[in-house]
Amino acid sequence: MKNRLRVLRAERAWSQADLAERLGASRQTVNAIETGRYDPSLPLAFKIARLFAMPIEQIFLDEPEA
Amino acid sequence: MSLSRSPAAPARARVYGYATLSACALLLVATGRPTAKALDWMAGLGVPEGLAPVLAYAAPALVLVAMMALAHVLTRKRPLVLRWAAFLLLGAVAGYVLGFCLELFAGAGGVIDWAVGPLREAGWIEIGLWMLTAVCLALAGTTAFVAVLGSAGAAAMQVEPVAPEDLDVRSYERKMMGWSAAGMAALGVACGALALARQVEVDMRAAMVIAACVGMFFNIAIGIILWRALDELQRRMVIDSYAISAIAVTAGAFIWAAASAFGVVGEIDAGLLFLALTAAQLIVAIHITAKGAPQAVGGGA
Repeated sequence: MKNRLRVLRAERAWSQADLAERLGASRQTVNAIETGRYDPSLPLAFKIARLFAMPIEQIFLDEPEA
Repeated sequence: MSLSRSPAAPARARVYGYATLSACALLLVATGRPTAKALDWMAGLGVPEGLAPVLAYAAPALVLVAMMALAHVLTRKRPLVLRWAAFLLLGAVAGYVLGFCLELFAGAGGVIDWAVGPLREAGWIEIGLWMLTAVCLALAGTTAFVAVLGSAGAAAMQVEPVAPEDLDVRSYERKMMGWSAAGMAALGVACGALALARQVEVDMRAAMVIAACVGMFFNIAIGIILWRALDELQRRMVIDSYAISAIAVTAGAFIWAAASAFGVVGEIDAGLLFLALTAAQLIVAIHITAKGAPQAVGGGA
């Protein structure tokens, strides 16, 4: 699943570690989500949405895989 | 965290990595004693008697670093499996040179003999347990190194280009790495004590079994502490590594059971089962951690 996490993070000039601290997750997890290697659970997705004050569907894009 | 913000950090880290690797190779070599076979071989080549021991110490360290560098160059931008294979193959070459030139940990036998008495000769299960002990203690040492030194420690461990973000080791990671190092060290102690329990005289056996149980207890307790502190991806990786290793060992045990029906192999020793499960779990966990996220099982969907 594609997402805009890297862009949203960059807009706020946060490092992956900064975002991980804010989410209470590991930097490894943030990295894996950003690179599309891991799709977060619903609770974590909602946490991300709350942090960026955006609806989930504006962060995670439900595009069919090629 | 200034290191992680610097664009030059990855390149610098690679230099630090090779310096660390060279230092480790030198430390390993320093524990050894030149073998008679190597000295005879060099004498046959006309190497002066005074120079042969120096070469016996220098050659393995140089070959180890050279093989690491060669593996890195040959496998650049190659798939992970190919990289692992190249590192294993070239590592085996370095290991052969090391074993040919030096008898490693030459003083360890005397220390063990003094501490627990004479040992019976190690069978292949005991050799496996000793190898597992060495791997666990080496992993514990390297993890503790990064836990103590943080970003500087992470930079010093890199021999490949890494993203600057990967060198940003903060207090959460350091704490987790500290626990991991302690857990790995406890597992190393358990494996070593189990190997000793199988090799010592009867009167020392109980003490070794108790030491192994204490090591295993701490390993499990630390595992629980770590599990509670892990986030969802890390827990997923732990589950995946246990699942894959359980499938592999179950398949292996089934094949063994089938072969034993024909009398081709003997009965499975409990020590062998522990060794196989622990080794498989360790290898899979290292592989999954190196990949960075679960893909093989579930794919994070």
